[in-house]
Parts: sequence; C-alpha cells; structure tokens
Amino acid sequence: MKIPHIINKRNKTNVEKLYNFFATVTGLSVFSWEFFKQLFIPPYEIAQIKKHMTELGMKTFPIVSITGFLIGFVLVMQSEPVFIRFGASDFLPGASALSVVRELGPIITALIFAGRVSSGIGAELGSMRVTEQIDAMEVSAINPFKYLVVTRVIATTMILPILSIYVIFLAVIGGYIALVISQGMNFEYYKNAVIASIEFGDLIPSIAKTFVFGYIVGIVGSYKGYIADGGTEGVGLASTTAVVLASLIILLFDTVLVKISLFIWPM
Amino acid sequence: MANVNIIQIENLSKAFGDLVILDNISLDVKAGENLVVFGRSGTGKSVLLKCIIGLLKPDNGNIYIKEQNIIDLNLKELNKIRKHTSFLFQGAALYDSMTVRENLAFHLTRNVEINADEVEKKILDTLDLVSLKEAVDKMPSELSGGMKKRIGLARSIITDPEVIFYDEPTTGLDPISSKEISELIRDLQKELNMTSIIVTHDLICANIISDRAIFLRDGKIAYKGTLDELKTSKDKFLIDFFSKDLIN
Repeated sequence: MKIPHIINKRNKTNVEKLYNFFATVTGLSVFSWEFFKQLFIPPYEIAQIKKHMTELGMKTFPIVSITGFLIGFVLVMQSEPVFIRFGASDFLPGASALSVVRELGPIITALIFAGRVSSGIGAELGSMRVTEQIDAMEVSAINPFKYLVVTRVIATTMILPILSIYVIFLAVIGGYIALVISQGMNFEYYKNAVIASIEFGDLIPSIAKTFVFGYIVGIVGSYKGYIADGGTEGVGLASTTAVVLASLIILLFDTVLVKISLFIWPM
Repeated sequence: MANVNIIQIENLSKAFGDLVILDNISLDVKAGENLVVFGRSGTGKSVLLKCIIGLLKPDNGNIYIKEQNIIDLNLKELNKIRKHTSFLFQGAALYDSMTVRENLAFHLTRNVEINADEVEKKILDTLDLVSLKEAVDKMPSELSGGMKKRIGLARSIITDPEVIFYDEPTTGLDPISSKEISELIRDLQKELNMTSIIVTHDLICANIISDRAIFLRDGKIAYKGTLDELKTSKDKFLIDFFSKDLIN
C-alpha cells in the first residue's frame, strides 16, 4: 500500500495546500481499497471487532442519548407555532417524526459519532504510529492494517446504524414529551399519527446510509492516525483533522445518498 | 554455524529526496555474532536496521537474510522471515492498551503454534529472564523507562528469534540501568545463541556487547573492526568520537 505523503508544516503555500488536498483524496482511496482487499482475508479478528463495537457504543451512548431526546423535543417546540400558523397542527407529530427518521436522526448521530470516534481513532492510531507500535507489529509478522484498521472500520460501520435507530426512537419520544407539555397530547393519538406517516421508503434508505456514514468515520479516523508523523503535534493534528474531514465527507455523501434514495423511493 | 553469514548486505543505498542516507553499503553478519553499529546522529544507523527488516525499501542493493533476498519477497514471504527475527525499538514500543502479559502473548500466539498453558509458562519464564516476573499484570504506563526496555527485550526474545535488531537499547537510561540492560542482552545472546545487530551511541553498552563494530559516516561504512581496534585507531575522527563519548 503506497499512501501519498502529506506535507506537514506551518505556513503552507497554496500549491502545497492543493497538493495536500489531492494527496488526501488519493490516500483515502488507496486506504479504502486496501480495506476491501483485506476485509475477506483471514484472520478475521472477531474478538477485536466485538471489543471495538462495545467500546465505541459505550463511548457515544450517553451523548447520543441526550442529543436524540433533545432533537425531537426542540424540533417539535420550534415547529409547533409554525404549524399552528399554517393551520396544520394535526400534522405536527407525523411531520416531526418524518424529519427525524429521514434526515435529522441519521445525520446528527453521524456527526456526533464523527466528533467522538473519528478523533479518538485518529489520536489512538496516531499515537501508536509515532511511538513505533505499528512498526513493532509489522516487524513481528503481524498485519497492523488488519488488526488495527479493518477491525475498527467494521466496528464503526456496524455500530452507527444501531445508534441511529436508538436516536430516532429517543427523538420521537422527545417530540411526544414536548407535545404533552404544550398540548397535553394523548400517547395513542401521537403513536398512531407517527406510524401512519412513516413508510418503508422513509426508514430503509435513512438506516442504509448510516452504514456508509459509519464506514466514513472509521476509515477517515484510521487513515489520519495511520499516516500521522511529527510526534505529539502530529497526533493532535491527526485527531482534529479526522473530525473535520469525516464530518465534511459525511455531509457530501449525505447529499448524494439523499438524491439516490429519492430516485429509488420517490415521495 | 558460527562462520555462516546469516545477513548479507550488498551495495545498499537509501535516500530521502536529495538527502543520501546510505550510500552503497555492503556488510556481512555471521550467525551468533554481535555487531555494533556506531555513527553520529542522523548518519542512517536506524535507517540501516529498518531496511534490513523491511520497514523501509532501499533504493538500490540486496539484503539477504538466511540466504533469501528480502527485496524480492512479497509481504507473505517477508513475514515468514520476520518470524525468525525480532526488533527492540528505541522506546520499546510496548502496546499501550495491553498489559505486559498481553504484550508478550500477542507476539507469541501469532507467531508460534502453542497452547494456552504453554503460553502462560513461556511468558513467566521469559519475564524471569529479564527479572520482571512481578510486572506481568502491569500496564506499560505503570513501568519506568528501564522496565519498559526490559519488557521490550522480553517481548523480542519470547519467540526465540535467530536474529535480533536493537535500536539504541540503552538510550535514555541512567548508566547503571544501561549497564544492566547491556549485560542482559549479552547474557541472553550467549544463552540463546542469537545473532544481534545493535545500533548505539553508548560506549558502555558496546564494550559489553560487541564482537565487531562498524562506524557509519557520510552514508558509508567508514571504519570496521573490533571495538578495541576502533578505539585505538589513529584516525582523528574516531579519536574525537570515542574520547567525547568517554567524557560524557
């Protein structure tokens, strides 16, 4: 695997910045190719994948729980006056649930996950790189890419959809609580309105794209950590740039995936 | 076995951009020999080790380990060679997220066919060799610099390698710890009959370990011989190097 070198210095020229952009795009492509090449080659490191899934899930569980509830709660609070103004308050439960299911739940979970996990993976692998732990694996005939990268990327890809479903559920509950406070809404009515408004074509693409977002979080964090150099400064840089890059790529892919899902499941 | 070349390097060159680090180096290392590599900082000592173990790809030249040219090998074939070698990094490179036991078991179980009971026994026996049996459940962050080096050494020898590469094994240690580690390396080498290439600046370490030494300068092997021959050389550069080292 030949990854293009990134110029790591202060006060880069515009040409160097442009070079770094293309080097990053190429590097990420090479890294992704290597991931898919090694994905099906044994050993499969199942224990490591389970360990990472548990750790990453536990790490993000509290923050996504709070965020999930608040998304639904605030969305309904903000939307309620608007719906009343247009005489459409009956549609509020269904409309807010649809927003959460189709877009807000997956994208916000992915961005929080990127902030928490991509930076963590970047820092962890970056630290292993600069302290020669990755080299130590390599010279001991252990495949560090398989052990460190493939296992983490599989874990992030598998855990994000689970977290997203959990966030969607909490957001819908949050929306209900907001309506109970403002209107004293009946749970049965709310539940029926939500179920009636959500279709198969709403749920499947939104969950499907979280697999892609999970993959992006894992691969970007791993890439940035794996190529880190320059001591502790390099580790810090790997951590921060991993978050920025992962978030940006998630938003770009979201745009494309929304377009594709609308083409496959038109409203 | 003693006179068989276990490592042969032919016309090895390595540059980073315009900066030539190694320039047409040729070198033989015999089985069971301890070769010390001297040189000032930045003269390519570590680069030489990393080329030999396949961490860096040379620009030119051939490197034979046990008569196989590692330049021609794919990763799978190279890893077969690596199972017979070991590398002690300057900072020991212990895995932060694993205990000492897990650090040792990680290398052992992946390179040697061995059952769980034997793994535990081998770990404890190896830790006993470096006098750190009591550290078996400690995390690397709980160890001192000298202890890390010892554990790193234990991890390096647990697979019974034929060749060990040491990158500055005593750097950062006080003179007493440095002497202890050096004696440990020498004793292990004698006991286990391993071949060693040791990159160091430390004359105390070299005095204890070396059978033969080379001195890298301007990308070439400028001097070679026994340590005594180098130390008693009339060459001004060597006189300066060794006298400064002794003063320090």
